[in-house]
Amino acid sequence: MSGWMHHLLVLPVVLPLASGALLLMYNERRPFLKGVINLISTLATLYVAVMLLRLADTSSTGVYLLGNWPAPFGIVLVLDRLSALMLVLTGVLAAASLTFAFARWHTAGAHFHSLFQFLLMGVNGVYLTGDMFNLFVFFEVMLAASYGLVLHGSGPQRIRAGLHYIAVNLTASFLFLIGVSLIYSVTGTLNMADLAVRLPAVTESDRGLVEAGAALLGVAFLVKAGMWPLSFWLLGAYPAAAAPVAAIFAILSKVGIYVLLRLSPLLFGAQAGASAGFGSQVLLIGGLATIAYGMIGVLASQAMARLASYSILVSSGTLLAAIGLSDANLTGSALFYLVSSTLTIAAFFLLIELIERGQSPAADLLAVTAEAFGDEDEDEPEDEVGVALPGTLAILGVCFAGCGMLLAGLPPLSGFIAKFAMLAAVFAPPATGTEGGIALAGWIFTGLLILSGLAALLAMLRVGIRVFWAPVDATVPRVLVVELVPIIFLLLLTLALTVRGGPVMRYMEDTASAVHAPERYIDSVLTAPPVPAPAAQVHR
Amino acid sequence: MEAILAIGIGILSGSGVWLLLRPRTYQVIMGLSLISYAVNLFIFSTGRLRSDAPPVLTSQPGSLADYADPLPQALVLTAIVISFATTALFLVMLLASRGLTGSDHVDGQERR
Amino acid sequence: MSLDLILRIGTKLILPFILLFALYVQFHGDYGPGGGFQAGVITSGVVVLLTITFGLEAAQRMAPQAVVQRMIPLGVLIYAGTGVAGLLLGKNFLDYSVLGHDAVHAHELGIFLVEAGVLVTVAGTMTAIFYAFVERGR
Repeated sequence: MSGWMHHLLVLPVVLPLASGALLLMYNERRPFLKGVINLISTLATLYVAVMLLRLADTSSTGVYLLGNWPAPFGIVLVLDRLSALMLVLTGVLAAASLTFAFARWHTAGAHFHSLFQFLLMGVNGVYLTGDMFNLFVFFEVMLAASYGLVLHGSGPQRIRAGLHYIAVNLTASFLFLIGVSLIYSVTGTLNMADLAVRLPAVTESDRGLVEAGAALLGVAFLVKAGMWPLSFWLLGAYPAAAAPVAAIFAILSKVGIYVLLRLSPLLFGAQAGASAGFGSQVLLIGGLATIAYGMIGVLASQAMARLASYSILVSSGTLLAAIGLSDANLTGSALFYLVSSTLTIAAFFLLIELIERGQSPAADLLAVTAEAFGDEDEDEPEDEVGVALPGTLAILGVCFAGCGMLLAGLPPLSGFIAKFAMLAAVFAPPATGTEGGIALAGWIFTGLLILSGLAALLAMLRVGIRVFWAPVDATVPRVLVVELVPIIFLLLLTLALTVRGGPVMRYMEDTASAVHAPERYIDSVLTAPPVPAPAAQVHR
Repeated sequence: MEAILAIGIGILSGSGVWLLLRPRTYQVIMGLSLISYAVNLFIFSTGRLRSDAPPVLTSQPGSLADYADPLPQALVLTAIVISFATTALFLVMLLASRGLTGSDHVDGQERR
Repeated sequence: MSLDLILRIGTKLILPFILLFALYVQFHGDYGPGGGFQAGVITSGVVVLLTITFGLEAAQRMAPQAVVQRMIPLGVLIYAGTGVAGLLLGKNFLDYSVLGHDAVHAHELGIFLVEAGVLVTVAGTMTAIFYAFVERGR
């Protein structure tokens, strides 16, 4: 590998950092220039992420020593298939939401572009870092940027939701800190790989402290991932956020999932001795409860943004339960589901804004309860954007149907493949289903997965009928092409996931088996040599 | 010394949690600040309580046992900076909420 | 206005020493307690003191909004630039050892540059926050 390829690994963090700072140099009177800088940086990050994905798929774990300090002492960035996958997913969502924001949202408040870049920096950093405290720092960068973004566009509704969002997440951050310092006080290390090595050797009297620390950490991540009952803030914040912000926020709950997926097999996998499997029961039961809660919410919600938020909960719950079942095959399918559902929900959030733009106030009367949840369309700058393209309603309708099929898991789109693969993995013969308890959990998981699909289908049908068929004098929403393109792009990606299902699934399965057998990860990190020359540090 | 520190952390975090659950935004922000102090003290205590032990190597290094663990101190510094920044941000939110809704209730309106 | 004569002259006398102390903390931060964050806070303390004594206009004549706003990203760019300099000179990101003729001096220079970036950003941020709150009441 050539010298500069090795530095690719640090770019997903440095590029947004530099461009975010650069964007602060210009004031709000130059929205076009800022937009161009942001777009270039976002696309470059996406390009780097795709290159990293190919790199991670061919060679195994890449390790980057920041400041060239060796592994347990310095901070490392680690690239494996899982982090590369998440990087690409984030890049795709970022590109889509940014394009959408160009229609009008990016000028609706100050510093949108800088915050957007800092959010990307934080999210990418979370994926790449191999150090617990650095994880906290990147989490905070991500959260601080998201605090700004959730308020983007202002208005009482956003301020109120943002207040709750910030208070809850600040508290979760404190739990994170307590957890990290508890673990550090016992093991004396913050490097994830080193931690995995040292955890089995922890004495019996200290084990309780470590597990308490891990549990506190877990709560912090579960708040982010939106596990019931820690998810109440999400239902206020996401519908209140501006559409492109909500779309990029679809990845934020997956960040919590990512950390859990990274840490639970690494720290509490089969090799962890007395602590093996710590917390997986909680993830499983919490995940199942979250699916049930989200499913009821999906059925009960009238406003579309709220429906989408509950769909996030269903998706989070499904993933948490899948992680809790800790089976490599299931994890592979769950990763496929993660990609598919994140793309779907992001597209849905973008679509909702366009559909609601066309709704006359009379249409809202059909959904009586919609007012109770406060549709704040009135005090948004309802300036005339876009033109009434012919066939706009048809395009929106088709996109809506696509979202519905994806959420419900109907063929031919990728939602079906994802759910089918998960069910197949649950029933696969070599699963750990020899004990009665696990088989029962598998059955409940199966039932909830199918029921949640049915609930999504019902809810989407009801909303679709109300929006597209019921209005007598439907006004065609005024839509810009630049707003339609990202939605169609995201939906086409899910179609591509279906068409190229084989290779994608192969990648996911490789990822899952690597995640569940972390020896190579640990080995790569701890043996990464601090080299004098920029030679290849990616091991084969 | 350990007992005093433990009691101090307990009082700070207990008061913090109580204030955090109060309905006024000002109480919430004070609660968050108190919790952050408690957390900072807690992180500091993970490096073991030592007095007269420098965290940075001096010109005559001597034995490593004479030094305090520098890492928790670095972590505390980072945590202080981050909680300072988020507190400032939350304060702005609080003022914006007060300005927009005319109420300092955390829900933006008084409970009826 | 004449009543606060002592306050105003005292402020004028003490300002250079506050700045000097900030620089002391800044340069002491390489290998001892102190550093860019503390120095930045002390620096912005100058602006706070100026505002309290002479009013916001006087403070903003000395530290104009536009400058303060630019300082925030400038510091971040100094930090990122230091990191990238190591990267461009053939080492890892944030590896300072190529910045000087031997490793010790290079590390000192690297830390100094990073701390300088922190100083600029923190001073700018603190002042910006202070301005934002003070201007609210007007």
